Amino acid sequence: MGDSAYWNPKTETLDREELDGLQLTKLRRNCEWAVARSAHYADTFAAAGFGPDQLSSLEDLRRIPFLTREEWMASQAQAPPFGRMPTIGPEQAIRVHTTSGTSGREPIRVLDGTKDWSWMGEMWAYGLWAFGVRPADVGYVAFGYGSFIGFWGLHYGFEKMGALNIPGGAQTTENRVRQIVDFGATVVASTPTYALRLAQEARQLGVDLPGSKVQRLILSGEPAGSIPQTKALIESEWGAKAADTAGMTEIGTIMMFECSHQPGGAHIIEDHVIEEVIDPATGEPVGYGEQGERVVTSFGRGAIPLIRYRTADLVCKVPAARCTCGRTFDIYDGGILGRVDDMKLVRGTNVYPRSVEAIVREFAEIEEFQIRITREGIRDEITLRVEVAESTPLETWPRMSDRLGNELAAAHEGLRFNVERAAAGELPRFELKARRTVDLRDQPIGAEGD
Amino acid sequence: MTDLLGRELTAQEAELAELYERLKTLLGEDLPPCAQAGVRAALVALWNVVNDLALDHEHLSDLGA
Repeated sequence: MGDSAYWNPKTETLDREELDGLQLTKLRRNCEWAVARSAHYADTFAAAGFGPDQLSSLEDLRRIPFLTREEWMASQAQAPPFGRMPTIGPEQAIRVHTTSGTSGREPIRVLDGTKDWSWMGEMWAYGLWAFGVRPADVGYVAFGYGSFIGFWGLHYGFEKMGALNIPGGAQTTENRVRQIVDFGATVVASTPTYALRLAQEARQLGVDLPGSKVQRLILSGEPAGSIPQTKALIESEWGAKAADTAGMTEIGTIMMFECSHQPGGAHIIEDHVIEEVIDPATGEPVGYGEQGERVVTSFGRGAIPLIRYRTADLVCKVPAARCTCGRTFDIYDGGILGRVDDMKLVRGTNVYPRSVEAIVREFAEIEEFQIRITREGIRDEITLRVEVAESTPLETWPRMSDRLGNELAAAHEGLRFNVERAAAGELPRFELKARRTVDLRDQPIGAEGD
Repeated sequence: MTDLLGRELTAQEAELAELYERLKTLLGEDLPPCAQAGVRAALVALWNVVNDLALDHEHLSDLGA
């Protein structure tokens, strides 16, 4: 088992025609299953006047209506607590999980049976293996567990491949740093934000992370895992290689992973999902190399089939040949690029949190930051608030803030950012998905929100 | 016998597919709880194998998995 470069050599190297054929077969079976067992899908297909038996090519997938988060939420409200999507009832399930709730909206609730739950670990095993994790590794999961699905699948992925798994739930950050070192962890999994937080904590404790046994970091949960500047900072703080992955509660697991060849993007696990990229405004497909919204159809989860789910994630698909690893799975260049709805318009200029973070992470002294957008009279203001390491000499701040302001303006059509230094510990820290953009426009005075 | 790609199964694949089918049959029988739980876990493990290797693709809710 240790000799193979691939977790699944048979399908990870299929030619495109065979891969398309496999996807079509699985798609047809999944649609038949969904229409027969899920009230939601029975209605959706009937309303579209389309049946699974009419799927004769992958092009026909476009005849199936999209599923949106709003529809899912409405379904939950109509038939609480799980809505009309599931094909099974709670008596046939073994797990309940939810979305993280970081968006401030009502979380989506999902049910899983034994088989579905096992499949989720299997998907993580594809990604772990591709990045070089092997049974001899010691994995540390820096995650709070609980009902958010987060790294649960990775936990079982470690165990599935035979690696020693250390669940780092219900711990302080200090304890996690100490456990990582004491147990000799070789692989650590966390969000990109929390990987930096752990590194800060280690420095304060005098723990030498680059001198520890950690060789690999598995990042997930935020687009930052594929922002080159953020990843470079994480790798430098840990003295280890970092790989991005991405998944979502709605699938239950990851659908893309970065392999050890690190082509600047993540392979899509195409024998288990179909990933379409569409123009979010028109719903029409976009080609290789063009940005658009991810639409996912997954094959593994039977309890809640996911067919043409609009994720609101921004991606750019490129052919598998971009990578030299031999996998034929296409790649999302730069991973998840952001959210369709996270672009902010400030004085006529588009501001993407990812672009701001890419600049901020070039400054190793910055420990945390926040983008704050306000309305002063009729004029929008954007402020970058940063927390700088306490060891940074005070006299360097004016030059640093000037440089930050200039680089931000240069990247945003001359838009002037106010740059403010926050007090140590003033800005919020995140273990799960970071929320660093605070848009206070059109909010009552004194209110905070996004 | 062919896989979902239309390829003939290798001897190893045929054995895995047969094991999977035997476990499905067993799980449908009246087993003591300890055996039923173990067979279900084994079936789910084999499901991942046959699904990954494109030998079969189905859901197992009707078998309680």
